[in-house]
Amino acid sequence: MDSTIRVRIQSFGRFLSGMVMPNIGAFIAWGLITALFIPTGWLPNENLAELVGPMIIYMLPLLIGFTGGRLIYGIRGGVLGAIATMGVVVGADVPMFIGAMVMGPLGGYVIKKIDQLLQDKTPTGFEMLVNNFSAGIAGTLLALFALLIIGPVVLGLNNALEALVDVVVDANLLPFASFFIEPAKILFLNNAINHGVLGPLGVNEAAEAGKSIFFMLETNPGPGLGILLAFWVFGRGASKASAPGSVIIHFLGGIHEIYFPYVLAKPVLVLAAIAGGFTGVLTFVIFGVGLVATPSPGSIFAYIAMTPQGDFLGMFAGVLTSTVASFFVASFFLKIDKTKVEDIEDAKAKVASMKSAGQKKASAVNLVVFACDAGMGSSAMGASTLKKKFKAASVNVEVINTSLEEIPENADLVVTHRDLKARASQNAPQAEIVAIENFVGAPEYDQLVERLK
Amino acid sequence: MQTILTPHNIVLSQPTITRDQAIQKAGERLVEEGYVTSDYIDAMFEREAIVSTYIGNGIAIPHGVGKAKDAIVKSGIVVFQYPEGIDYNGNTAYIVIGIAGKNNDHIEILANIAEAFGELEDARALWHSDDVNLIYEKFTAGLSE
Repeated sequence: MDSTIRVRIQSFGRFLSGMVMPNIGAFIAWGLITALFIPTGWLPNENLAELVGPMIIYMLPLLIGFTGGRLIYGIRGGVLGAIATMGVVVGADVPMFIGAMVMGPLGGYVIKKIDQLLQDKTPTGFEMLVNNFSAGIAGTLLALFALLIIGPVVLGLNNALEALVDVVVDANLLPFASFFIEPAKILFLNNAINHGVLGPLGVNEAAEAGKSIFFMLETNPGPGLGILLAFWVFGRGASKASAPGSVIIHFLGGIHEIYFPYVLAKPVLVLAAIAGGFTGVLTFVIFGVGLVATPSPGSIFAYIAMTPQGDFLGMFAGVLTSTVASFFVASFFLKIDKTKVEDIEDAKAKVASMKSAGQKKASAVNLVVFACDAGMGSSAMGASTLKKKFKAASVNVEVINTSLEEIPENADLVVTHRDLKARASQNAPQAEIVAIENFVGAPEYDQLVERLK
Repeated sequence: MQTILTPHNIVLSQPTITRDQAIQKAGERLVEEGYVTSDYIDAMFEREAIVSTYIGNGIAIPHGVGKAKDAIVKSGIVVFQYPEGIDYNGNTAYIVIGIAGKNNDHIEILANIAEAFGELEDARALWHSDDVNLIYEKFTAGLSE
């Protein structure tokens, strides 16, 4: 795949999962309540089951909308994201996840732009008044816009997508989805696929049927397990030695990323992943099983927790058959392979560079934060130096300075003293850290200017 | 008239001393001028122990740790010039600037200082300048009040 496209899909996927991942706990709570209390659940209870509807229709989309807005513009963006999401939520009778993923970030973006416009025009002493009313008025308009215009569009898309999926499902073509899903996973598009596409489809279905197979298409740990077991038995050198540990991390811990390097080291093994995925989905289809919510991470324990009553046999059968299928295919290729196996360490390095390919590009850097211990000396001087340099090169990026503890969450890039680097990455795990030695006249400033031009 | 930096607190042509003496001197001046309480001097040494405040091109900017902001009465800056240079954690500092900053009202001056020392050539001229007013003008350029 073309690498710039991959990078774009990756960062898009990262953004999508940034909206969904923080809320996985809420999805699981909803999943557990559903599994327990709906009429077909473990402990049917009409009273408690009343939670199910409002949680999926209102709570989950609003959480996603809030998180999406917050990613763009902090808490204020989140508030606007939630207001805007409300517009699509009330206009529809299906859970509006895609609508929330559109309106949340849009709400954050709109208030960010409005704040930028009003920033210099607000008279001193009126900031609070202006802030609250600009957010209130913008929120009103966004909610109306969402209800009248975005809602119907997303609903139409939703219906079209559902119709398409119905066709695929009715024609029993679902197992063939593995031909796309498995290779894409290896390229680290797993989050984009699962949280961007399959998750919302699954939630829609689960809202009606109480479970969905879409949660199982990408998350099945079977195919990866089979590949790792094949390396354990037939592998050589470092890849053989590291396989048992990887099995535990993958199958019990649910961190699928651990087996991607093994496949990248021997790309032909993607066939094993596809075979495993295909077999697993086929088995799930035959047994007619599903999960109540996304098993995240894709560990066998999460699978067990998300399996509805009566579906355990089919679930275990699918995981087992997919493991066996990918094990046999992978073993075949490992055995006929006479050449030296590419060192797993090389492959891991390759993986690291693929993963980082999606990191901050010039266009993704909106806020540079200079941070030092107190935020009153060195960082202030560094920030003003860089501001001047940005201005001279007409780089349109905001630069502020803070203490390490106060680095805002929307910081894209943090500049700090070499000795404070560790503390900075602790306080701003989302940001790229640039460590410098001299706050005045550092060569890194010109590099940054070049990069962000 | 801004009271953060005054020409009176730009002290030129000081004989070479140790780093600790220079920090002590900058701190004492900040206390004498009513910018900080004496606790602030300890906070300056504390800050120095975390990371050196040498910031490049011959300047050091000793100041307190973040939690010492309570010891600041009002924002103030004092400047000492050591034309022969002093050993500052392995670097040579020619200008030592004591800073006590509150509410960011000292930021404009810091920005001016950063600009004045941004290029090594300009910085070098200031290491040895004997003109208090020139330095004062440079550091406070564009300040309205």
